[in-house]
Amino acid sequence: MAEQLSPADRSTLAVLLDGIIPADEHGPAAVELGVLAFLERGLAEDTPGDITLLRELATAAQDAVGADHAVEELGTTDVAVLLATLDREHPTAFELLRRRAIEGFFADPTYGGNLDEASWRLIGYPGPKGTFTAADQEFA
Amino acid sequence: MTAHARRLDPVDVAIVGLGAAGGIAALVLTQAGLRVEGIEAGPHLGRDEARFDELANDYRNRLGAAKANHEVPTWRPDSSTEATTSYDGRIVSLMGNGVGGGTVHYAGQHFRLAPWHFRLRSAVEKRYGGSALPADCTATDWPVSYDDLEPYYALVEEELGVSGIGGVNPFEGDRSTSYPLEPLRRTGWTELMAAAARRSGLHPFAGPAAIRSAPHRGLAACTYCGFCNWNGCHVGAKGSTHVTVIPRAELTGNLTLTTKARVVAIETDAAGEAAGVTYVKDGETLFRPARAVFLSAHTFENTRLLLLSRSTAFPRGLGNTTGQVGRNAMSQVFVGVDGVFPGMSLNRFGGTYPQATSLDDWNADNFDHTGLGFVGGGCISAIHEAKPIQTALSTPPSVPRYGHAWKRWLATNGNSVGRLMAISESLPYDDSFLDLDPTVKDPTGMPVIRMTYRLHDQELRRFDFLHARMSELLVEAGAAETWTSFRRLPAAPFQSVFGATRMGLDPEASVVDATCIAHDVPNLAIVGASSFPTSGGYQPTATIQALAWRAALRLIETLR
Repeated sequence: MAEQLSPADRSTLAVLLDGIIPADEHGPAAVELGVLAFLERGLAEDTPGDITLLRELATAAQDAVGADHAVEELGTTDVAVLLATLDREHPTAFELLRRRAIEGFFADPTYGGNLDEASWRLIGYPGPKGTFTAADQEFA
Repeated sequence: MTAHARRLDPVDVAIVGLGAAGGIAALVLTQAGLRVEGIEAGPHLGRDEARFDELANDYRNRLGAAKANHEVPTWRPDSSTEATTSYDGRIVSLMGNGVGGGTVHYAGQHFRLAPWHFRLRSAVEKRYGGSALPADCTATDWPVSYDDLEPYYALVEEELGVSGIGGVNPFEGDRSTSYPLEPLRRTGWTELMAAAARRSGLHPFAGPAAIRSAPHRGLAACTYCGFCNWNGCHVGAKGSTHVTVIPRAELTGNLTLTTKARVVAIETDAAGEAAGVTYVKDGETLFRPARAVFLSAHTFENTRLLLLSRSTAFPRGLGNTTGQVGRNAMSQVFVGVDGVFPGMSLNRFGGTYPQATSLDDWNADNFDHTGLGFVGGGCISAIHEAKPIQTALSTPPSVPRYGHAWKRWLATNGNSVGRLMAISESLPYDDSFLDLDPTVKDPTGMPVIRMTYRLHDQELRRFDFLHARMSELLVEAGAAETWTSFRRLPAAPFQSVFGATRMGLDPEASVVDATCIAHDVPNLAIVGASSFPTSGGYQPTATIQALAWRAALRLIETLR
């Protein structure tokens, strides 16, 4: 049985994920897309080794905001500052979270992180199909 | 001999690993009437098991689940550093396991090496002098020439159904035949880059691909679905040996396919000849006696099995009488540059990686290297098959890597990014080698391979040179900004790995002879990228398969 994230770490990582993939006119933010659930399923299945670094990242985020505050209380601007700090000071762990976020968001929707093919519509990817015609491969 | 192994009925040849080389060997040997067992560690995947799944295939190496993913080599840059299994600083793209081996998921670029690649050392010394190669570079000329291999390149192209066009690339070697099939479809992207190359005075051509542009020998044509590289083909349109040559070998009635079986040793007899192989299947240890053994796994496994097959006659392992197994290893060096073409929908999502415009102007010795500090070069290709995760992971350094600005940039430009890739020559050095890791073992208890390797100045300068040419070409085509998609790694990217059982005429400096037969075991063929004395400036599969064909013919002579 793979280890799970603690509720506190899970809630911290949720904030970070929503900062990495924020809501905008193209669609909702990471958690609503299913990216956090994707991340947790990965820990239970094919990427169990990630958990140490993710815990380290959550702790670093909590330390950065100080004992008197919570990561969940931060406004958008402060989350952006926090992400930049983590990217600079914990590059390996931050890159792992970013990587998993992008994998979940851009993978096939059956993995649960790409609700309504939001990421595919974002970049104009038509989705997998058995045949691409000559016209499909011309410039639009 | 391994104790407690149940002895099976003898065969003529036991093939270890049914990938690019083993598949060709199975065809040639069985059609000559020899009884062959093909032993493969992975499963036999059907076309219906090919999935449009970038995450599983490209990022989790689903096809390596049977074996390769559990025996990742350790790596260290030099002998005085502790080896690590850390992925940091490296690309780790492993092979897949299954009938067809790496040809199940390969991109399918199918280049012959140029005549120059076979005589790199002598040609370099002649043109640039004896000091053009560093003193610690162990590159040698190949013991075979392009002309020696040409007939086998042609045979392989016909068997697989290779698409391409001969006579357009002014730098290619002479061809006895044209390609069996027309090039893969040209597209907006391939023609944009071809025009830019022509304006730059270069010589673009439609890159050859072991992917069928039309039906061939009863097998289907490509549908340009966009899930080719790292994915199995859902219509069987690739030259993958499990849909081409292996079924033809089975038709002879002489091939027994044994899957999910792991070879643990090549056995020898009192005369010092190969006597068969020991393998484990379903928990049982079996010994298959054979009159000859054809070792055709990945470079890592070829090396490991030879080093582990120790006996009184071969205390250092098979093929290793002169201590050469593992020496002269090389890592394949990829160079990738992306460019954004604002406002243009390039539509590179569909298609296949080798549906490319390629050029050899910066490969081999096709340009003057005086003062450049390196020799050789690489083949540059403008490729298709931009999948979504890959697209999202490659954004220019001028754009944040996450957040609002990142999403906005992808929304505006995600379909406007073009990609050039080059496969760069790499050379062997005194300090580049594979051996058995002294401590790390795979789940079966066998030591994993340890790679001692760093990129030398030649490789770093060659990378930078190709990177600069690729960036210029993208700008000429209209790119507003270019950036590195495959960064220059500090050390050892594991892509294809070359050398370690290299070919040569001198047993003191090589493992196998000019037909890939072990110098010290007359009925043992060892074939793969592991045979290469230098990497060449292309994807290696075409050459691996030409060598396999020739080695199989040599074994037939030996067994006659």
